Amino acid sequence: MDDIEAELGISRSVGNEDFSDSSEDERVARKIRPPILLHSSTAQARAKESGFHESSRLCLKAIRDAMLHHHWQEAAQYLSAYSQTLEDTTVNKQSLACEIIWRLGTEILQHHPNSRLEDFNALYEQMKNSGVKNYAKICLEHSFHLLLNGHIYDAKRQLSVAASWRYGKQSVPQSLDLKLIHAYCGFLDYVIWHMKKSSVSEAEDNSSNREMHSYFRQASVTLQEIIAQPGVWDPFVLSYVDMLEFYNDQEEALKVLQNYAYNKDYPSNPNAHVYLYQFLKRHEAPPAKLISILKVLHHLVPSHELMQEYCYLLVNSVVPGHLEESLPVVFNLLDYPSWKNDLDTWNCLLTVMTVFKRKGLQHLIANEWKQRKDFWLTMHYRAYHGRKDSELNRELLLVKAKVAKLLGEHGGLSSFRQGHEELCEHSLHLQEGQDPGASVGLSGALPHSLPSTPDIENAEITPILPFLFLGNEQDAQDHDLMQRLNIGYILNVTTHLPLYHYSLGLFKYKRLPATDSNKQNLRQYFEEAFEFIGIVHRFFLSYKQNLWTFLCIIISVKSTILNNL
Amino acid sequence: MDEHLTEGYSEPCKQCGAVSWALSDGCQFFCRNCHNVIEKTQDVVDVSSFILNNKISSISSSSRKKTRREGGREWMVCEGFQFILKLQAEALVGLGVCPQFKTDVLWDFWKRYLQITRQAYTRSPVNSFTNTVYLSSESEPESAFLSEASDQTEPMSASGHSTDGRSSVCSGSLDAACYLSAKERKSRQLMNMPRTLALCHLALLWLREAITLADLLRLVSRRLIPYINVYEEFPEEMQFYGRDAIIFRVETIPSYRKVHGEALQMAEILQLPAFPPVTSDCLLHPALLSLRYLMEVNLPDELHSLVCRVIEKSAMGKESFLTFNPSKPKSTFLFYDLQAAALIIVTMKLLFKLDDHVEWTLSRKAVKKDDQGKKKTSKQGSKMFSLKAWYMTVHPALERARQREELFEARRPWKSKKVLIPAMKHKAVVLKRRRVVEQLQSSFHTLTGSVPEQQSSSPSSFQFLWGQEEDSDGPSLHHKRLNCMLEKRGKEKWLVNQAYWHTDLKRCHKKDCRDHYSELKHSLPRMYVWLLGLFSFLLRVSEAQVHKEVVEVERRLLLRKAVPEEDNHKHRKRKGRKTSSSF
Repeated sequence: MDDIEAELGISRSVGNEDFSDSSEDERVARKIRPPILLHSSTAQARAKESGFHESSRLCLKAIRDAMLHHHWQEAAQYLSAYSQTLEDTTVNKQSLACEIIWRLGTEILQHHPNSRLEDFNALYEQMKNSGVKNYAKICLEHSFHLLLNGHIYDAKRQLSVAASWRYGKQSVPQSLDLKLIHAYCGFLDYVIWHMKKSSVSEAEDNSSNREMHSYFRQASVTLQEIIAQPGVWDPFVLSYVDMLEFYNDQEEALKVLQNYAYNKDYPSNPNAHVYLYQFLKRHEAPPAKLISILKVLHHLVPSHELMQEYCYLLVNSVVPGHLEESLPVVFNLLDYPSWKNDLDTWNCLLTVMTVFKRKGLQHLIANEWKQRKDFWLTMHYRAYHGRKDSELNRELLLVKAKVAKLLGEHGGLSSFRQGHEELCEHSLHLQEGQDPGASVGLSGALPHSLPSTPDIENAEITPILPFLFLGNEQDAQDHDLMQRLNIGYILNVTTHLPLYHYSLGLFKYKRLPATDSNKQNLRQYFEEAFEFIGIVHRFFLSYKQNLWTFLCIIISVKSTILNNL
Repeated sequence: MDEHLTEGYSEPCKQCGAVSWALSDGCQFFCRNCHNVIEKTQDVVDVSSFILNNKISSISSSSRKKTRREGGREWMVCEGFQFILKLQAEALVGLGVCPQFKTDVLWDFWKRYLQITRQAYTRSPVNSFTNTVYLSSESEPESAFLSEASDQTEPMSASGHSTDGRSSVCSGSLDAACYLSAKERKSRQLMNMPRTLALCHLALLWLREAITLADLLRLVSRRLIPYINVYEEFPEEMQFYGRDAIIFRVETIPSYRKVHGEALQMAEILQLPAFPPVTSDCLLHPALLSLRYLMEVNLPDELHSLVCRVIEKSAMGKESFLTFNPSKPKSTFLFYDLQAAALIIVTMKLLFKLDDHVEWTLSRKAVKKDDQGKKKTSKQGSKMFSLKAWYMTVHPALERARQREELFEARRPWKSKKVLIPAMKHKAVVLKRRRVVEQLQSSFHTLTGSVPEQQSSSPSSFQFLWGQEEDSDGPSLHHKRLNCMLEKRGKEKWLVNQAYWHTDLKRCHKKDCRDHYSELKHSLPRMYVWLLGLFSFLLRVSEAQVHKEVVEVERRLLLRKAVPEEDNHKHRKRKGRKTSSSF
């Protein structure tokens, strides 16, 4: 509920998340404080607080309420009153107020309809200078804000000012902030270099070329320095490699990437391997090398999108043993729900399986299948999936069915295969299999053209026996129709449909409150229904009236009741 | 005044760049703007010593002249308080208090205070610092004063440029240092900010003015009486910085209890005689005060006669009980407003029992009777007072007022535009912070759009407005009848409700015992607690304090040796004293 306070409470630890990862060795055991509710305090504390502190507490509460209700103008008004807490004479309250005003102020400006960039700049400048503790962090946020608004040069200037800032002793988190500022300085140099590069390529100009190179030098020096320290530096590494590639320094780039991926000091980072792979792929490295990189990546992230590529590489590889490795890779991939509906992945699986079948390696497939039979059936082959796929992606359904067919060869699914062939041949109709698992799988594969549920709404009233008609809701409402057919008695087998013409007194009604679900036990109603129908019938016989008395059974939806009747 | 002494020197100040020099009494030049003291000194010694002496003697001769003295940089803290008292007195007179308040009563109290604490109007002032000054005031060479002052005490040196060059921490006033040690404060009964209000309260009481202590504090909170940041108003020549800040800075409005306690102490210090008697025609008398509160909380006027009966029964209307007499050892200093509120609550309890059952039953009956009455005469709406209707009217108004008050509190500006500089070395930081706050305020102010104007706080003694007016808090119930609550038996009228409950009336003799309210609160009937809350909001005191006062009234009403009763009165109350004192 009090997310603002919670954020404030743990903001310090959250702000440095990147770093705490990067410097595991020197990580200080940082206690995460429980969120402090600044606007509320215990009665005990309240009795002692001064009027000034009470005002600030109430004001903070008012700001919070206004913000939660999105009353930004009101929030701005209270924040303007709250700013007096900056003049608090107790040091820790004052520095806390600084942070609160910074965070809430930017939040309010972000949402306020009339806020301008100048307001942001003014706020950042004021807050930066009124508390030394957060200087670096605010600078960084300020330049991000400028970047978001496309003021790259301003952002760069902010960062260079911040980078050259010195005040007293640096605390540990502060030095981390400064490191990040340094890194982003280099990164912005790269961004500017990149912009220059695209403009230079159009107009060959010497001076701008020189300028571009000077940015390159600045950026490369900074980035090199940053990357040399263990840590997660994805954007910086990428930009550095990009520049190196532009200046044709492939070796250096490779060295950087390899170091980034394989150096034990760096925290484990899947992206590092991805970058290396992409780089090598760009430069047409032999497949064996690519496979070795992807093997590591597979180990780290089995569900990575590159795993398909890995699989094809393995299948096409001439090295013995690689082919065998490909099967678990693709099976693994489909263990993750994110790939569940991906046609390419299923295609990949199909390809691999066909290759295996051709090469007579069915036992491997059986092996993999055995491990996942239980959960794959519920994960990929339920009736629901079949329906959904048939609506959204027919092709996927087909591939899945083919895979199912291949899998069906491997035990426990004898009828699977048989049902499946039919699907493959005309993909229209499937018979229900005897095996429960298969039946689930196959009913899931029902194509759309076969109505999975009879279309009751559009059915016409049907005579079942000379005196017995079967109709639907629409018919039950049709007064004229029923009179035309001489219907006198109506049996309503629903819980929810009204007895439409009951008030007219023309028809005799009977309701059997059966619900439309497969859990409904219908047997209990049979006798009652027979009785009702019987009465009608006897009445009809005994009086030998020339009147046809009919019974209309109203059925709302499904087949259960239909079948049982 | 020292312009002619410093005009020869026109170098800009190294710290702030201003050319505005003045002379310290150590004859050193200092910047008026930033108080930076520089090496340069004035060489005409006897002139400055003359100034110094002249100035100090003016303190002793007439305090009133002080505000008029010019160029004087030296002032005593008590002068500051005197100035504040003057402002407060003027504000009160402006609010309609009789002009004697300022000229006679408060002024007399203040003179008496200065005399008794031997700060002025005395041949033997106790202030060690001024002592030396007095001695030296005639013709003693200045060096004597200087040496005296410097070997006085360590905190003495803190009073800045008065002694020597090491004036990094300083105060504008001469004797700020004594005010900072708790021991000295206590032994010499020095002033503090709450005591200015305590003095005002005593003076108001002396004049039997209608402004009660709760009113006084409300006026302070509404800024109609200067209290918060009052040092802004100090005249130019009373330079104000450093330690003075700690004495005069206000970060809280003192509580009712605090000011009351201080007033009691002041009355003892001043050795005041018996106050003028509180007679039945003066507004502090519970009968009149309770009438006022009945109007405030929208209760019917008819209730007043019942309240008067309670006052009579408990013998609380007697002058001897009501009049404050500090000279008598056992005289109590009453909480007049709290007492009136408590009387109303007790009367409500007598009438409605307030045990969360009886009052609702009675109000149902009243509505029923009303309906019957309507059939006969359907001219007006309901005539009977129904507690339920009253609660439904007052409760939303109370909640709104509480909300309003809270938001008002949230927006209350505490910090002054005039910056307080606690110490020279922090000066730049403090000034910068002030600038940042002002910028923030102005920039966010532009974003507020159309701000609803803060309600003009008119100095009304009422916080709620009942009636047909547009901005009223609800319909007025003042003319409702209480017939339902009384029934005729023979010649006398009896209360329908025959039971009365109360909490333990025994006095708790534990030393640290303040009140048992927090323990009791959860077992008390909600309606009673709500009523306490209503009055605690109106009077800005805690519920516990109102409850305590209620118990006090109950003690007088129930435990007193029954005075000869005149039973054949119109209303007669029966109290089921033993029925439910279970709480």
